[in-house]
Amino acid sequence: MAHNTENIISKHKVYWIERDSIGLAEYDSTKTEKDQFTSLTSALTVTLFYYKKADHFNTLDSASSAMTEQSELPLQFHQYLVDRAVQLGYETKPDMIQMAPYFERKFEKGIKEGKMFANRGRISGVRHVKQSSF
Amino acid sequence: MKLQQMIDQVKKHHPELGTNEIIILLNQASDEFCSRTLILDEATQFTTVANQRYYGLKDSILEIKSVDLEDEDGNHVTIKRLMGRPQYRDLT
Repeated sequence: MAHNTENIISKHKVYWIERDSIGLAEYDSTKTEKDQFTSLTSALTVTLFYYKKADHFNTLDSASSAMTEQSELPLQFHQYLVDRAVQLGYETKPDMIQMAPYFERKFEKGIKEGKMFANRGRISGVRHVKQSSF
Repeated sequence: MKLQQMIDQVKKHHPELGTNEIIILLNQASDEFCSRTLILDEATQFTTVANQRYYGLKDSILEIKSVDLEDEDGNHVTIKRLMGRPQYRDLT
């Protein structure tokens, strides 16, 4: 059966991530390999959807430092940040290091709850499991 | 919970730690929490420059979920992610 080549779209705009940057180009499958990707020739609006880290708290040496700041994380996870900070503090004290695993377990419980919260569908849609190497 | 309340709680266990040290620990915990749970997501827009191929990403971005690009008719259309990168580089 012959393909109807007229209906096949040969040009696509594509993106990729490289060196902490996003690359944008138009891909044309009909051209030679060297000329398949061309940069966009006009000013177009790009919308990025991404996962992010919460904004940091300002340290005291910052002009915008304020003790009334709140984490961007949902309120129910704020305590887990405290637990982690307490754990890290105990890890620097050789005589009290046995306290650290207790607070580590609390933080890990928070991670588990956080993943469930992120996967609940309201803020992030369906999460796909993917392979990764560490 | 406000930052002051968080600091007060940590100081109950570690009164010898300075406020800045505690803030740094809380920021460290927050980074780890966000990167392991991917709990926060956001969208942002920018405008491309003719013939420029690369645009820097903010440090706070952990992972790009998808990208929409305005087409000739002004519609915002999701574009495909390339696996890898073009073999022939253009570093503009």
